[in-house]
Amino acid sequence: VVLGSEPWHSQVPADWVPIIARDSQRQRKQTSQPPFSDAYLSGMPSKRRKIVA
Amino acid sequence: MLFFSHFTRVCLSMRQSTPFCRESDVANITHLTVKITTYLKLKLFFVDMAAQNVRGVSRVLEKLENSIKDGNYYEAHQMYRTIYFRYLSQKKYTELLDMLYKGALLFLEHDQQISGADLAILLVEVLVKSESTNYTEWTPKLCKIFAKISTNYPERETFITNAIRWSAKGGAQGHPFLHQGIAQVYWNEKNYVHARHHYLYSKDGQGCAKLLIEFQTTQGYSSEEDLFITQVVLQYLCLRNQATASQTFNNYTKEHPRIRKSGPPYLLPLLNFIWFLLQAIESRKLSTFTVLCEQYEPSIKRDPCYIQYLDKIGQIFFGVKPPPQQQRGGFFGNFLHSFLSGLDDDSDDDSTVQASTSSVRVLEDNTELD
Repeated sequence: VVLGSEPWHSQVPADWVPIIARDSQRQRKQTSQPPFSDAYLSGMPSKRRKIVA
Repeated sequence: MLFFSHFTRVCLSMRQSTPFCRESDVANITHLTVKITTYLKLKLFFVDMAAQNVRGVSRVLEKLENSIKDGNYYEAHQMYRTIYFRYLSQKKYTELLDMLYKGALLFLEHDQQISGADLAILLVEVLVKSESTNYTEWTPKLCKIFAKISTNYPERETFITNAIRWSAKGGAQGHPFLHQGIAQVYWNEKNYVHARHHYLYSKDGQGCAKLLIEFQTTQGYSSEEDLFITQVVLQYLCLRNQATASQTFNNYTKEHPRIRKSGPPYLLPLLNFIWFLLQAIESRKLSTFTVLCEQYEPSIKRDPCYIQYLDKIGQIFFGVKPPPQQQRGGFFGNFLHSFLSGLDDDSDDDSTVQASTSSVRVLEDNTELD
């Protein structure tokens, strides 16, 4: 990553830039989120839980 | 007294000898006899008490405790209630609190759930009436009682709800120390859902992280390792508790068997996002916050709630103005309100919602109460 090659680089500490850039790449390859477990759903606010589940 | 026990014996023998005597009659007469006996004993007891006023309190306690130990539960319970009213009118709060605490525990240790829970509820009433704010003294005691009331007994909820309300005096959420104690009791019972809920209102990031690791590894999916911690960190931040948010995040990432490593950066982008977000909150730089939300959008979108939480976090820590549609309500506005009102304060509009399972309903009730 060339520091300053994108406008957002100047808005974060310099040592974050390579990590964020790498994560951007990784996220592009990310598969869609599988359905949530009941355990995870139990942490959601009740109304949303019903919509997602 | 002799007469009454004789009377009982007659009743019981009647039951054996006369086939026409109905079972319910005998039960009623026996019950009445117990009541009258107790009343007379109580009268004698108070005459006795008045005569020796000086050593009164300790004698009363001793007598009551012996009564329970001897198995005279009904009688003992009535005595406790009578003394409760007496002391309350005299504003003898210290003695009363001590008596109710010991009494509740003693009943519960003898598995007298109804009497134990009744005294426990009276105990909280006295805490409220005496305007006690001694949370450090009472939190462990209340939690000890809470742990001993059986989980299927509905008065348990009443007791702990009232206790939280007492500890919330002057605030909206109940004392963090009490929430921490309740969370630990639920955790011991492997009730992860309720434990998590109460940790959210505590300041125990270490305990919360440990609980989440156990919850995630035993009941969550492996694809949710980063989601469990993200969910709770964002919720802590919505409650303006960034210190516990950070503590929970640090402990979770350090101790989770599949994340554990020397430190950030992490392999999972969402974990880096949270790590950066917590630092951005320290600096309060809106432009940093905005860049993070943009760059990590695909990860943020994994759970549709995250965008709502981040909206709120933007308002709390970065001076973002709430969008007008949200104030008017609408679908997302209402949704957010339902969560935040549970977290923050005020009443909420959840009461009309029919929960699909009882555990969900319990959670909603809890949310309403805080």
